[in-house]
Amino acid sequence: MIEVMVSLTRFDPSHDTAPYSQRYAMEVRESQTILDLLMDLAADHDPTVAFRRACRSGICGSCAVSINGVPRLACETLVAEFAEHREIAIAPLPHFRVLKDLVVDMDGFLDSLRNVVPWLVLRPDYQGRMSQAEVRRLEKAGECTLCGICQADGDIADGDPRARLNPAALVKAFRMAFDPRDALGVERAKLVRDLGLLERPIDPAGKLGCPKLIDFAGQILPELKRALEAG
Amino acid sequence: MLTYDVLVVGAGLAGMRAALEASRTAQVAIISKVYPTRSHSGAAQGGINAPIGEDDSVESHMFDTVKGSDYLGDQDAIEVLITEAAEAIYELERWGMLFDRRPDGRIAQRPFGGAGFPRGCYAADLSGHAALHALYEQILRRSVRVYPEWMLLDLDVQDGVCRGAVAMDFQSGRLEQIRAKTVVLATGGYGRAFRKTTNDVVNNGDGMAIAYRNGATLSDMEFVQFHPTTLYGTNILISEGARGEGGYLLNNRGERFMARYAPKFMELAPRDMVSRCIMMEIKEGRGFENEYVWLDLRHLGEDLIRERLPQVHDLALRYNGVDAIKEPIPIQPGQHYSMGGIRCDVWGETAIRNLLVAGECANVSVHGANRLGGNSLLETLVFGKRAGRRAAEVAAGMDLPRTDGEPLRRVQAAIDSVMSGRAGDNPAHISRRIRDIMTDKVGVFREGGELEEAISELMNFKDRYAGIRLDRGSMAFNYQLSDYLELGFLLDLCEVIAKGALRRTESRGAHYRTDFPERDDRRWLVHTLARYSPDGPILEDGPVSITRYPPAARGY
Repeated sequence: MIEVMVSLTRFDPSHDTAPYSQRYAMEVRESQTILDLLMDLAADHDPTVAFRRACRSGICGSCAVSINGVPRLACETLVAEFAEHREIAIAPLPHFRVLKDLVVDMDGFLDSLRNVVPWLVLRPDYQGRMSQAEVRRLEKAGECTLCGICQADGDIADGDPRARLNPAALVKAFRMAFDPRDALGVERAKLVRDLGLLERPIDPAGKLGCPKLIDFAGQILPELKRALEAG
Repeated sequence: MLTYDVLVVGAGLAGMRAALEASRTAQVAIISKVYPTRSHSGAAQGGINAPIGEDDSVESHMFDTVKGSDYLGDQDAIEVLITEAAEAIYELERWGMLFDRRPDGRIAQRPFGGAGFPRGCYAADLSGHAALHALYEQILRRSVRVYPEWMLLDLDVQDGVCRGAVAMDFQSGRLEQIRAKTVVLATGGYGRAFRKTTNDVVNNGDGMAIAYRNGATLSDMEFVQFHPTTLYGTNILISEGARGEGGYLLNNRGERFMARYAPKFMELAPRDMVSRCIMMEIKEGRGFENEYVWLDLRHLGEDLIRERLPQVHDLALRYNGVDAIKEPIPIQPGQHYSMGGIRCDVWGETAIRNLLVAGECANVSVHGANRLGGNSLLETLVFGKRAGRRAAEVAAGMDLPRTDGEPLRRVQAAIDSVMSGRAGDNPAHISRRIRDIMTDKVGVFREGGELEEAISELMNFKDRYAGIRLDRGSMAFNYQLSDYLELGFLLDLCEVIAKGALRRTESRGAHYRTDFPERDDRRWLVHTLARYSPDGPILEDGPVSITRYPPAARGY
């Protein structure tokens, strides 16, 4: 067991005018995740703390928060990483409106998916076959959990209209555009271009903090652009 | 008051499938405790069974399922499940699910435990995630209204007829009464009753407990599935697909110990058996640190592991620092699934009129005493669709039920009296104790004396639960309140599970009594039915449907 100092950003709109930081000294195991730590904190120190939680294993996308300034999944982050400094600052995701403590408003993020026709439009001539190579190409994009980290980690200012369109929507567009079963196909690339999504600045080295390592700069954007050029 | 033809509770695979079907003809809404894509269906890894391989057949899949159920599954329901399996898969495929493919481009299938053929259709080891997102896309396409982060608090049942529900909008903390012609519960399982579980933190048996309190019958609740391979430490699921692809189970002598217990099926014996075998190895000193055995994938090679088991590889590395390409994974059994649930027929209809159920919260019963890997996702699709269809049909033939605001007022009064200033036990601490009791005394191996102890401890905690009062806090995102309510659901269900386990003096499927180690068909080839009373569950026998396969010895 080690002792750590957890500073948690608290905000309850029913009586707080601004967020503030609350500190808790906690005994934790290095093998614990930050999500475990938050659950222990709620169980043993302060039951009023609000944070989203579900799968514990990085597949549901519920528990994205900012940990020492970096947007990540609490359930995928081990206490061991902070064993040296023993200071763990947990805050809500940036670029999202805070609803309470670590809980942010996901509705805008999720709604922006609707812009890209986020479902397969089945080709009438689909015969029930596709190649494993085609599956492989789409698989990574299919891993997106809609956790919101790509939006939080992006460098678009909140006022910029492009901020309404998030990288996850681009991933969904990619996932559908290159599915051989899809009737829209390359039309989807035109759609995201017309929405201005392709101009979204993305650091070529960065993967926007994606826990699934979806490669926006190396795969998603260039392949959509190539499809446009090929018509 | 909100009004719908069909109200679906839960947005996992069963709930969304039901809503999609019902929305073809009815006005439908879904309420869900979490955003749909957060649902626990997404954590399923291995695959979805269907007998679509050349040499496979409906009969073979049926027989495997019946035998896997230790003959407790209802064969009429199993026939429906398997007969409609292929259609369920192709439907999902046309909705965009990214199944892995065979060289000829058709859907690939992998072997699972207790199955005579490879019949698990899969998307690497992210099958549940892929299916969940495919259904969510269809929900968006059909514009089915979803109320995310709404928690079911009670059903509106009057004179044996369901007329809607009362829910809490978690974002505001406001209570809402929803009036509906039919309600479909698809609320999943109760894994949080156990310390060692693969389940997420949301699975507290809400729907099961609420239906039970309102007069529905729970059945076969003592049958709790313990998955053989969960990560040592966190009990996060390690897919049966890992053994389906050829993984070995090894004890501390490096032996593939399954050879001694199931020489033919080896690691791919059914889950109940494999979990018991692992526990025996550990108990007899052939485990590691008296806690776990090894799941060895090294011989499968890096390419296969990265391609077909990427999530398994990630999970072991992240949580245990084990690279499965180079090292064996430490695993132990953990609670995974509820075979039992709300008793229903093959259309999802229950003892409460106009209340239907589907998925893990339901008991049709297609899994009997032990579920086969790959059959649960199938169940969600087949019976979710059926429940949705029947819910819409029933709704089409009736007027909106008469009700008033009384159900909401009743729930509001109960909440107000609980939130009157902190007093009594800390619910989180009771919750921890319950989970220990269930894991240690109502687990893989059970014994009469220990079950009696467990029951008396549970009853004690039930009394203490009644004395708990919570802070008068703000209502938005009040997890203190939801945790408290969930503990109440679990306490009711744990009592039914433990009392059913004590009553059933035999061993069958996942229910193993060390003091009654044999299956006893003369006395116990029956379902356990539980009905609510203020003094505890009334337990009775119910008949099992046996149409084709008479009970036989169950060797693997």
